[in-house]
Amino acid sequence: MRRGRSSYTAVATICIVCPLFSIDPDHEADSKTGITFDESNVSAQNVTRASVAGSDNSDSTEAESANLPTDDGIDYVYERVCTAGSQDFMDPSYCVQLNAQCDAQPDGVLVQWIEVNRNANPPTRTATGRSGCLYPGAPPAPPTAGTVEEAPIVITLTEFESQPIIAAGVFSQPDHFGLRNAHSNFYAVAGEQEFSFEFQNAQIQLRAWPVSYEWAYGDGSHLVTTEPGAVLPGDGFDTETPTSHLYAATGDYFVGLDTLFAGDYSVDGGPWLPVAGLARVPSEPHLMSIWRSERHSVAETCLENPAGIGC
Amino acid sequence: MPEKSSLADENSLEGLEAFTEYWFELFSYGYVTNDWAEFDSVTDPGCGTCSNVVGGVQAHFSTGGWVAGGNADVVSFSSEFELNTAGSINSFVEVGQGEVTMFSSSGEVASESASSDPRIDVVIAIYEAGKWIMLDFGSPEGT
Repeated sequence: MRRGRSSYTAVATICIVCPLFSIDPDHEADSKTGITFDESNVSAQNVTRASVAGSDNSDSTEAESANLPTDDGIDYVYERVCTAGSQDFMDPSYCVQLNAQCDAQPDGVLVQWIEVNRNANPPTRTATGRSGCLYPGAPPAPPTAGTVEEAPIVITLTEFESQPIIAAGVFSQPDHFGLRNAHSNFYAVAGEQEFSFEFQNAQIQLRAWPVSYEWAYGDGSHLVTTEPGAVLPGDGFDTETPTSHLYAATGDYFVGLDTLFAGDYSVDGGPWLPVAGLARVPSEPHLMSIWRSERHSVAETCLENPAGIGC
Repeated sequence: MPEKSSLADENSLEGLEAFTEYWFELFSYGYVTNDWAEFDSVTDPGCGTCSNVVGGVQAHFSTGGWVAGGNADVVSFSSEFELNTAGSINSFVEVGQGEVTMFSSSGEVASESASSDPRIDVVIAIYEAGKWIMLDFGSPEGT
């Protein structure tokens, strides 16, 4: 359990006047049959006491009937539930699992709805407790009957991946060299990056940060991890790490690494929006020579016996 | 009958975590006893997953059968402990469940469900009148 706010707070205004959220009465009446959690699971969205009369839905009724283009100073914006950034309160692998639950389409991102009250100075931001999935190419559907009137400029994975994202550096210990049946330590070095470009007559700022690493060790084995790995003190010889690998045979191997970056963008200096999906950036293949070591006992020096082993 | 620690009534991150663990103990207890009195007293009727489970268990017990297993295992809990606009708090809970066996009134196995691996769900709770009330439990909305 970790606390603290994310350093990558990403928000996006999607509508100036959104109807307030209402509790969806359908979510209880799911045609579930079994009695386990899995079989009975419906999404959690009940943020108010249903049993307290008058306290739960009065606001939303008003808001729906007053769904006119007036500016009440209340906006609803969405942000990533978790960034998998190092400052996040959540474990990076947890974030990957969580976003994976947005599986109606590929590249889903779990977002939460934030109420921004511009009547306060400075404006206040409060979570609504409601969430949704962001999929490529479209803003997420707000958990309300209201629809998003205006499609904002959306930066898709295609634009994101076309940025010159600097690939992770691949390092090994010992450098480019290892022994058969010994742990060779690998690690990736990748950082947060920012880009500026023009898109649909708007100035886009985009920031990217690494969230996941996919190693191909060149001998047919693979590793997907949220950990970049780290340098070990000394030469790091034969020390098992979360990203180390043990080669069973000698030879030259080209080690491949794809780093997956998450991205947020801002249109003309506006709030930060998440990009749906992760940009895959391959690193240069890293040559690894795996040798074997042999041990022999000898009784003579090479001068005494030039034909001796190792002479 | 699960015992509630005094920590589980505290309005703090640690208190909410303790309450969440206690709440899942009540859930597990309800499966095998069909005694939902304490569970209901700390759970809002708007919890959809809860009413699905409780309704299913009650329906099975009403036929004279009973249930074994179903023990909930809270693996991890994480929350920013921030009030939302409705005054409640959303948290993530990683919870698995042991296998569930439903026995018929004659003692025969009526159905079996395998244990489930931990998955990440959302719990929403509100602190009122000196104690926590669970408002909802289920998959993240939108997924």
